[in-house]
Amino acid sequence: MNDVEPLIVSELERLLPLPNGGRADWSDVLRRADFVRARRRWRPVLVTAVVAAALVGVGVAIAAGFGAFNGISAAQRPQTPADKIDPKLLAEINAANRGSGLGLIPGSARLVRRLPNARIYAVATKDGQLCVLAARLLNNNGKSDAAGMGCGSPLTQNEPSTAATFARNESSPAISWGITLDTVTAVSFTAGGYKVTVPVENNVWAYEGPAPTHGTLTAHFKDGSTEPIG
Amino acid sequence: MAANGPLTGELEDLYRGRYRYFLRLATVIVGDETSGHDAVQDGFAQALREQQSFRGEGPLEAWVWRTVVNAALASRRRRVARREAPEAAGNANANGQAGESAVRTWVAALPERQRLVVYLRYYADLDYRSIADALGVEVGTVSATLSSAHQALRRSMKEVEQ
Repeated sequence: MNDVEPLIVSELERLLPLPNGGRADWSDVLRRADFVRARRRWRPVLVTAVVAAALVGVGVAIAAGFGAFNGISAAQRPQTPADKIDPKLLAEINAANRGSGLGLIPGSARLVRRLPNARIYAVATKDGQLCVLAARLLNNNGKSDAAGMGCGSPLTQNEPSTAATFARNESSPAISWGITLDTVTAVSFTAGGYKVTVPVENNVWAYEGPAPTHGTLTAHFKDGSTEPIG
Repeated sequence: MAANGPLTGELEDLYRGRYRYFLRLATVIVGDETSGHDAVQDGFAQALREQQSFRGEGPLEAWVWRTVVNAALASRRRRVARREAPEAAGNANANGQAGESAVRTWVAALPERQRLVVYLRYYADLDYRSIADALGVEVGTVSATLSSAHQALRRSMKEVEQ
């Protein structure tokens, strides 16, 4: 420091002392950055406890990856133009998961459900994993274009449904969704303190409201049996 | 649902570690702490959104300082347009009488760009390279600005002593 710098430092300190950090709020920064942040939130496996529980186990590699759709009739059909994922979105997924060996097969994408606030796709990976992509998740004013995705082993009788939840922020209702085996007719869970049962249509269930409580998700089969899935 | 961009973790660490310093600088630019906080939040949000554009040619922190300073300046411009801003930049929390502090007088009299250099040097504790990156100027400009500012302060102090 030269002769005047100590004086400058001390006088500026008097002018405006270092404030305390009580206002710091990283979650608020994330909310302000919401749109692009959400689009870049890709993970090979979506980190919600429900999804992690629903997509556990080791995947079986199947030729062309389409075995990932075993038991999911809504995804077992030829691809149509409506099934194709926006190339920009696909590029973002691949960029965000670079180095993870995700290996999505774009030609395998099947749009399994259009919702008011989202489009749900089933997508296979080169190593036979099932990925569930929710694109065009709209915010409260219908303007943002966020997305979320989870990947894991193909569904089984013990793991008959995927599950994921997306919320714009703590005050907005969550969108929860999943893809199930053909044999599943409904899922139930606790949300906001209430028991909720959601019917499955064309292998997909979706619910908008309070996020499901971790550990309460149950699949209901055609034969009346149930299976806890997370 | 944490963000997953390549720099998100570093940006969060920077925010958590240096928030108070960003807040102080934004406050002194904008004029009050609430607006300063908003500028910090908006600056970091912008950095999150545009993190792919960070080329790594300088320190990440300097790049973030740039977004926060720009957010603060934009906030100040909006407030000036609404005639809400303090009359003179650099007067945040300044309660002293005119002439009480040669440094305060000196700071208040500096052109905005020089004042930002001073703030970034002494409030943010940035080195010359980082200040240059933060303001988008050459290192030599920062050096010359600080040097002339120091000279001006010395003159101002002598006048006060006399």
